[in-house]
Amino acid sequence: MSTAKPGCPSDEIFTRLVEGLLPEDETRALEAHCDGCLTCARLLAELARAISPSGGAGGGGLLGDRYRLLEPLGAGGMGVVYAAFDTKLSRKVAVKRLRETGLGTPAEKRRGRFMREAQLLASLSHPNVLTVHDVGGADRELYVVMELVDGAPVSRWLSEARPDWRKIIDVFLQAGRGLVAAHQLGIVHRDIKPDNILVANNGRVLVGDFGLAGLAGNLTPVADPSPSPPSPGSLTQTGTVLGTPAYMSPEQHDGKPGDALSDQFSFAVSLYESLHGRRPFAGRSASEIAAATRSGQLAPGGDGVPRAIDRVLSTALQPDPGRRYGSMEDLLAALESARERRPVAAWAAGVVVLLAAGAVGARVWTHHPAPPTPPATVAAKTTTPEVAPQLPKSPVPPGSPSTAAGAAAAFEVKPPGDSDPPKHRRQLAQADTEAPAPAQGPAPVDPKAVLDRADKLVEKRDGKACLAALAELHDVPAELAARAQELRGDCEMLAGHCEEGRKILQPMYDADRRNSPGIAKGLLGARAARMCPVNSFPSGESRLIAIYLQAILAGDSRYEQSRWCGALQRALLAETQTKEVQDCFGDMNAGGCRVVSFNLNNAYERVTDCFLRDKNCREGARMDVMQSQVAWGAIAVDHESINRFCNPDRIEEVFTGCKAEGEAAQRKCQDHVDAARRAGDAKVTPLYPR
Amino acid sequence: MQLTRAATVTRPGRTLPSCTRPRRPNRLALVADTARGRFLGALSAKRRADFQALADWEKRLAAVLDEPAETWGENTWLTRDDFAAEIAARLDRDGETVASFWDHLRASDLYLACACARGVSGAIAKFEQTFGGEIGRTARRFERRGLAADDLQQLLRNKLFAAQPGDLPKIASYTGQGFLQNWVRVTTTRTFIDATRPQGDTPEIPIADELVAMLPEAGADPELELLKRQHLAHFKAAFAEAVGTLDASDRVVLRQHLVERLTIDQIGALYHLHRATAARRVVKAREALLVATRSALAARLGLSEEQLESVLALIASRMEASVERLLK
Repeated sequence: MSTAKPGCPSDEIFTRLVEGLLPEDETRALEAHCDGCLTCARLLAELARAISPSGGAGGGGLLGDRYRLLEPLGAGGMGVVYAAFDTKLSRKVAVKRLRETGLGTPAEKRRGRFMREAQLLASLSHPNVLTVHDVGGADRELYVVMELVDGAPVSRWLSEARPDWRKIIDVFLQAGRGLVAAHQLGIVHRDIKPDNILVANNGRVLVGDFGLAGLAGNLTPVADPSPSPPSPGSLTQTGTVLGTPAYMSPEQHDGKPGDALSDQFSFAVSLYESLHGRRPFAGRSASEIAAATRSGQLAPGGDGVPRAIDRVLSTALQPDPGRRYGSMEDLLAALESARERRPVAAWAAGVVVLLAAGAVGARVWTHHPAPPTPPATVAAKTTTPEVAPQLPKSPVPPGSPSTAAGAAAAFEVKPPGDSDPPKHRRQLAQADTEAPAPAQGPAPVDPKAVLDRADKLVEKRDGKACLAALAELHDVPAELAARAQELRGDCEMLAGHCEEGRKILQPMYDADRRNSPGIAKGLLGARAARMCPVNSFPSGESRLIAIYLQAILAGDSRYEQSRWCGALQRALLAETQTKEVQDCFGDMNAGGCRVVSFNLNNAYERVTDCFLRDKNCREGARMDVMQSQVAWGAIAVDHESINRFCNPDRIEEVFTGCKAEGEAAQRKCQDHVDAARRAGDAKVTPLYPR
Repeated sequence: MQLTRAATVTRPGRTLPSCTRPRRPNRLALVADTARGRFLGALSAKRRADFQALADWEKRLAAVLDEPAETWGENTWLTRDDFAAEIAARLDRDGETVASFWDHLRASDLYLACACARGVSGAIAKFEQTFGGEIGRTARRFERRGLAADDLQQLLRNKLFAAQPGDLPKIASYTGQGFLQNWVRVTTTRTFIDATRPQGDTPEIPIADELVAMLPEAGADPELELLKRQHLAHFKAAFAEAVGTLDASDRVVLRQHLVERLTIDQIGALYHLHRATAARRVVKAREALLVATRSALAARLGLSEEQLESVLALIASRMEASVERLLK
């Protein structure tokens, strides 16, 4: 007996959808079926509730009887990261739930390995390593509980802070110290990339997601149409390619699990990309990238980054692990000295030889300020460079620092290649001038990555940065063209070029055969209302509708919500001061005023919500009483309605934590109304001063 | 259809027909590795050739056969040989390529399901222990007067584990492709939806009508009430017309958002989309609906663009507002 009615998609189809394995066309077909079949539509909805953390299976319950999941912070190849509340310790944490993609290695075995690594990592306390508080599994799903950091991954930090090369090196030096500490414990990261290095708002730099790559089976990005073919005699035969192709070392491309030297390689790829805005090895697919990494052929440098830095990186990027630096520490030392060298006479080259040989500490002869020391909660336990910068650096790693020593011994950390003196030192000694290499050739950019970045910038409503990002696109593959065009349109609008944006988006709406010309126009108009700056609209009515629509978006936004609410508030207050609106306050029933009051009311309501959701009680309360004034402004001032002028009501409805502010705003509003009445003002302007 | 009691559940010792009835194995192959022999013997010639063309197929087969013991511990739920035959039977029936089947094969899950299908009590206990919590929570969501959560769970157990006359227990139809947990979710939810659906031949309400019904009740909103009073028939018709012009996926996502009240995150989780992408889908569908209503209404009322603008500014913002309210 089958429960599926004849014609309904099988349970297996639904299972595949939930697993994310259903191809696009079959998903469309399933939706088309659900459009007409209420039972299946309900099944879809119930499944969504069951699998999503905010409802269903979780049912408001706690993850591991302890963590209450709050909003999702982001999604990646390996799982979704949520902000969560640790009910035992009453603190906010980040919880990463991992999808088990499990190819090849039996689930339990992988899980065991992951647990061991995570527990080991939890024992590692270093200012530059994202602290792992806890790991666990519920319903056969693994999760990692981590420190919640206010900041951005390097990839985003670069576009937001637009740092110069020195600042970038500083950040990577800090990240590198985190890696050194982990390597000393025998923990290999395996997936170093700019997305896994966090820059906290307080300047601290943290490396996250250690060892997770080993867990999540096949990590070849879904978007990559041609993953590297499995090569013989390696782990790839079981389908396990770890890491992210663009940052992977040649040995990882060959299917080897990756070691400290592979981390060094990925670290160098990340730094190179951050400095130059493009990756050192060009390639459209994983296999092309793999080939490029094996050739060791670097894309040309330039961009004002000193050649000495590029030379250091070219060593770390050697395809043969034996030719790279002996350890991360060596690489960091070389980077530091390359950074702190000044454009001086040729004799400096000789000093560099000495330096590289480890006879002199870099800071002994330069006056550059040391990189900012991160809040060293446990720094005293480790002998990382920022703690003991005066110690001369040895070309071979110094003895394992105290805390790490036991564990390191237990895990037999053997920095590979420390027996034969690396050949790269000679290369460093050949350093001649500091003159930046001339920019050469068009930069290879990954169009998909650029569009992803642009997408995020649209969400953050940064039109200018988005246009700048899109400007990097030279040729867009056909399958991405539509997306690129749509993004360009949105970004032009966001940047204030409303007409330009409309022109770009128009063909897209026109091409949709479902749209009549009227609908196409309307849809485009609605989009403009959401995207264009409020003041770019010519009529008061359209400005109010734009404020209203944007306030709804802003209330849901995770990015710069406060600033956005504030901007909309200013626009709304300015709009309220226009003659068109002020004239209506006398008689809201006058011609045209009903629509004005209507739009005004809606806009106030939404901007209020925007503040309240952002937990800005003061402004929320202020806008709330104003909204009640606007709402009742339709009625002439009389004794019946005057008391209703100053009633905040959204506060109760949206966010109850603002009672005191609500009452204060109400009192202030009432004073204003009373004063106006005493002065015999027949027409109370329904606003009160700050 | 009358369900037989789950006798198999209570009497594990009984010899049961295998849920997939594997073919008789080739005797010669049994000599070398019995499980491997059973596996290859049960495959059709074509599938066998395809499987043996996989790199390292012996190792991969052995890994799959050994996996259940690692997951569930040593047990006697199913012999290695029988498990091999079960896998072969499913691989034979599967529509995908051998490589794809193998990549998505959840060996431990399949092993548990097959043992449950054979009525092994230890396996069923494990199943209950693993999935019972979530099934119980789902049952409580569907519980209603006259149909307690326990009844729903009993119904599901019967269906999953009891052999039906002329057919196998439902759990035998799990193919090992995808997590058993997700398969159980689908089956559980579908069973509960079926069980709690109103009796009789209730015609399914078209989604457009359902959405129209979600419009705020008159009275709650003076403006809309006025509008509805004046133009209700037109407005409803225009709205239904507009819903009809949307494409299926827009309609489905609107239904999920407005009627089922799924959050953006839930929709994102269902389709494996990033939150921002899911949100864009909903916004796009909502806008399409608003604008289509607008133009259908204009046509029906014979209003000029300008007249329509002022009427519709009202509807548009009110509708947005009521949609927002619905989402809370």
